[in-house]
Amino acid sequence: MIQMMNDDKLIIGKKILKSRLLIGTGKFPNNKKMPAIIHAGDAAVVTVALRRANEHSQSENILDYIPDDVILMPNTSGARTADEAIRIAHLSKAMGCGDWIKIEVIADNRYLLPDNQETLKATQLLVKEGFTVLPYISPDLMTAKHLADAGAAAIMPLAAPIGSNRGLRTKELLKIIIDEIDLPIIVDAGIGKPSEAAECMELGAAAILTNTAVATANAPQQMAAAFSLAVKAGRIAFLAGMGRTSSIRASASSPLTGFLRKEAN
Amino acid sequence: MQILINGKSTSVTDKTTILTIMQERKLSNGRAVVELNEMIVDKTAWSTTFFKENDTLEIVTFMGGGSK
Repeated sequence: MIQMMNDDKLIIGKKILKSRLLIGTGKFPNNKKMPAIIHAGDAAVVTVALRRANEHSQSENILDYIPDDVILMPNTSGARTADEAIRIAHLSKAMGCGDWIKIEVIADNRYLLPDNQETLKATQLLVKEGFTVLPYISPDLMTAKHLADAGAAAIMPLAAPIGSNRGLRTKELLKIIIDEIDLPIIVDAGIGKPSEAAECMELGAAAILTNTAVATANAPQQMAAAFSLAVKAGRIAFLAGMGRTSSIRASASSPLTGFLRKEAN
Repeated sequence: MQILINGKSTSVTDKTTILTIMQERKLSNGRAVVELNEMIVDKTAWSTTFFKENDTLEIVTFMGGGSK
């Protein structure tokens, strides 16, 4: 099993990820706990957002709390159009922390569902500029195909609305994308608990991004550890191939105990 | 003259540079990016970039963020 895990590398862009868990850094009460949480989750990638620098709160910077061995992935949260996402991507790159960008274009304030069309436009342009682009989408096969054609490094379809912890609401649509798109599929948004992360991985997802489920847990560090284990378990189960599901009748998994009674086997 | 810094009207002189503002705000250590009238200004040009009336300066940095 250890060999199976060692040979099972997830490569995105030009990088080998050290795990299949991505962690978002929003909603945590303070930055100081981030290193322990990121470590407990064995996160390969950590997302950050770009915001106006506040005159009064420059004593600490989120970058001081992100370990060196994780990949930093800025997102374009706050963008409502492709042009705004592109502007945020350029500013993020100018921060000098690499060329990864999670495209997130949201104009719907009630459900925070992404605008797939604007996301595609931003992806097409930013890939041409040399960014490693991971677009966040509503799980739609054709959008995913167009994004793959545009050169996206991975696709990040949602399981449920952002921050909802409602779990795998889009399961069948996710499965279609996983089966049909030859890129890593990272399930992002809505995953509320480790069992749901495991289920995503059992479906064949390449990785999971979690934020709210960890940030709003009573003990975020322990929850990050639980997610890490769940993602690993789900991945091994996927690689192992699921046992068959039978009809409601049971099927004995032990030899029949013919010696107990005088019955012919 | 008046310029907009992160959306807030601010008085500056004709000797003020981007670097002056970044130093005043303790942001000159490389953890922030600056956009003047929607064009990114490289750090190497901060000390030689002066303002004109109604310029718009955005100073941004990374914050904790998952989505939205």
